[in-house]
Amino acid sequence: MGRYIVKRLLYMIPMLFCVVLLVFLIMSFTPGDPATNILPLTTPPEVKEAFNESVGYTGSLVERFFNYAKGLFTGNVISYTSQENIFSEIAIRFPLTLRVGLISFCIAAVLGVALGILSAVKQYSFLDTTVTVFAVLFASIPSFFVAMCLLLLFAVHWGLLPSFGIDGVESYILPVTTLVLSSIPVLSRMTRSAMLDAMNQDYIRTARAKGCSEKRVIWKHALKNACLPIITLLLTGFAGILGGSVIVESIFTIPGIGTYMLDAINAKNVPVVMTCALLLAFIFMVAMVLMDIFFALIDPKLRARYKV
Amino acid sequence: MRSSQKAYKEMIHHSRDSLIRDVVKRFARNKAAVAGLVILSVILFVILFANFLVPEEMVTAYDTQARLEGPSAEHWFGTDNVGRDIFARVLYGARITVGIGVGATLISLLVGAVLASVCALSRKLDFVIMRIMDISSCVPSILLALVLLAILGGSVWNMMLTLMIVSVPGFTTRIRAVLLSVVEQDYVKAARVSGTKTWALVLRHILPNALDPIIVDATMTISSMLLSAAGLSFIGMGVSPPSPEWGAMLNYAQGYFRKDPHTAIFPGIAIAITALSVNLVGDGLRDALDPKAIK
Repeated sequence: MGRYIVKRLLYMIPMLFCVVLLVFLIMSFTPGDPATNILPLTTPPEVKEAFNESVGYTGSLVERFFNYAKGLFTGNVISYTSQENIFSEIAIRFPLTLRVGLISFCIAAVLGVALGILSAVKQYSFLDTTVTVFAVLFASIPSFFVAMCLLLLFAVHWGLLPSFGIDGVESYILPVTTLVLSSIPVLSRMTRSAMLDAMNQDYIRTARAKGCSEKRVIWKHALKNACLPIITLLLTGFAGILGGSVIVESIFTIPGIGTYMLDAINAKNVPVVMTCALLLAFIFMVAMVLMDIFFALIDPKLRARYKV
Repeated sequence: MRSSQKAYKEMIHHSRDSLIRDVVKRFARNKAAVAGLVILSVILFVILFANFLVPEEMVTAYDTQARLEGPSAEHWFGTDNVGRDIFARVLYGARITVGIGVGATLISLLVGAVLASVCALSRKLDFVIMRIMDISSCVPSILLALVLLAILGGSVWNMMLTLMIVSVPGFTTRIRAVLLSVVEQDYVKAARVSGTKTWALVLRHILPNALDPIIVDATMTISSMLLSAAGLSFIGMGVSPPSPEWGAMLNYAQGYFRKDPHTAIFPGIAIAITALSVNLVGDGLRDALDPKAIK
């Protein structure tokens, strides 16, 4: 097992390198240098050159890439626009994104999976129909429109909650609700079908035939087998929430990673975009590795293959 | 000999007909799916005949005297911040938003199907292609889309290209999984050993037998493409103003909708209804094409 985990973690390094390289190559098609893009048009060329040097934009494409990579390891990458260290900027913004994202993910995961299991167990019941209708409906409404409607109702019409910024508990409610509402449909639908899949297997019939209580059939036999697809699904849900945070942060003007990245992309602020890409890809890959390790722990078939 | 061959062909033909008839029958029994199809037909009608319903000049014609007016007999959906008729813009916006959604899905379906076929046939290329897909699936798709649009600039074509690049890895992986299960079937092996050319193997034996799940997948993808396209335009990275793309309309409305909700509500509802009808049709198709699958 230890070897397997180490192998998976080492595998992340070339993947992360490729991600950074990919984003760097795409971004290198940006016309102009940072001084021309950011400083006013009338700036004299010496000043421009000094500016480029100060933000680490010198040399050829290859040199710039290695400069950036060196900066990553020494913790010294400079943002083109603010000329601050990117790591310290991210350190301020990232906790906000992570907090909103994790809270939404936990609520969505618990609610989505629970609703999915319930509607599979009580197939064709009132609850099942309601959940299905809700899921189809909310899968079709874009998250930004949900956010706008929530803003209209709770912030503008009733004036109960703040409509922008993030200070105090109440300002988390609307962004979190938006993310939860837009990720529950997928989670509950897929959980339901994974659970129904498991419940139609022969071993469930056997379990029932040998006189297992219904509770034991569902919890011990069906859920345990539906577990793997549900966990894969949670990973997709997590990725969706990370992506959705860009849109939610831009509506609720939350100074998190999403707005940071969006501003950086608009300003052609290459190092910031690359560092954000690296961070997001890293989080996603860690989640993926955790999932694989968890799979290896609970699935006897996989366990046998890796000789845990 | 001749006649028996003819009879065999007729039998095959007949069974295919009745198969399609069964699918149609099962689809027609699903009320939600039929409702979706009806709404979708209305949307298609609007897309085709918008210029007969409302003159095209209405999309950009503005009246600064009539800014941000609520819905009235003259302006059914009210007017926006520069006094343009929102009803006309929503009607013409359907062409852009639905066009991007359907167009992007079709191109990525094509690219995905070609890549997946290559994967299913060649082990070596399969390894290479799947590693590339692995890497690109690690770049968060929204980030990739935003970066690409920032470089390419926002336009309908760039938007389709971007959505295609972002969704090809997923498409390829899913179609590949379907194809691999078909490749293992005995009739494919039989065709292969009897010397069928590779392209004929793919086009005549593998793809037709993998078609059902691919059709359902593509239908579902249309709605997610629609939502992504609208989302990208909404954060100002997609189709540029003054285009009446629905997401872009919501983007302009961002500064005004708190006082004048109608500027946001109508384009928003348009997106939701379109995505909903596509989803309903997709669900119906899935159930109709695969009666064994549990709902």
